[in-house]
Amino acid sequence: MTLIDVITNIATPGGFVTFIELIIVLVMGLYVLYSFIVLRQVDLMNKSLMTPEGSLFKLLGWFHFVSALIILFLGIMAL
Amino acid sequence: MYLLKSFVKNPEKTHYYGEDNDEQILFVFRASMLTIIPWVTLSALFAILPVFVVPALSSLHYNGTNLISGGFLFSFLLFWYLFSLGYFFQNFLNWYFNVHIVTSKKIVDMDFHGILYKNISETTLTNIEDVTSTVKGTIGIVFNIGDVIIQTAAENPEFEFSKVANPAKIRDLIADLVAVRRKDDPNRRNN
Repeated sequence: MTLIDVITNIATPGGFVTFIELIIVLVMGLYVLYSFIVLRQVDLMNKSLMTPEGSLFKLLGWFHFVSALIILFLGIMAL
Repeated sequence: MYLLKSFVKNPEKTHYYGEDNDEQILFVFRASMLTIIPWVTLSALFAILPVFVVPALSSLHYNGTNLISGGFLFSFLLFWYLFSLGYFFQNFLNWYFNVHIVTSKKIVDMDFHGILYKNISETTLTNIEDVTSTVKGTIGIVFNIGDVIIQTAAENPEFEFSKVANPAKIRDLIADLVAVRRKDDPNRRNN
């Protein structure tokens, strides 16, 4: 289904759901950007205050970012 | 291990950017643990929400077929849980790194808000003029949570340690340190 098909069928239940799914995938894409900013933020915070837990935060930041990428990929594949 | 402590005395393996070689971190304060309750509760609600929403979404049918495919619903569910984790993580980072540090020479106030704001202020102990603690409101009185306001003679006239547990104790610790520091400071001794 192309984008034009989605727009022309937006008034039907199926078309509307596909449109919502597209929006969700777009939000997933934006979330990848956000998770990258969080990754940079963790780096900045760890440089400002060095604690034994710093490496744990870094690991969580990477997990968050990589998970966001994988979920975006899954979302695109499921469209 | 002081991951969840809001008051740490002589923290191990902890340093801040700009720390001098002859400086020692004496105390690290954060906002009281009680201040994390709202976003921890909200994160828990985010985690529970799919239990009710997913069955409703998967039951939507049109012309005998599911409106939302199982694959997309699964990826949306994963995304929802990642968003919940992200919300928790972001708030935890803000709580954990919004610290007030008292060293043998200075006080340092680190403020991080959201992902785009960072402010770090510091002043020497000898610059501190006055330390005040305030406890107000029902929650403040019941749980002994309040603010410590430090007036300084430096360019940044005021430092505020917000929503800390036992503010009177913190005020006393800082005031004692300032008194000792001033006693040792030859420039201040005759004042």
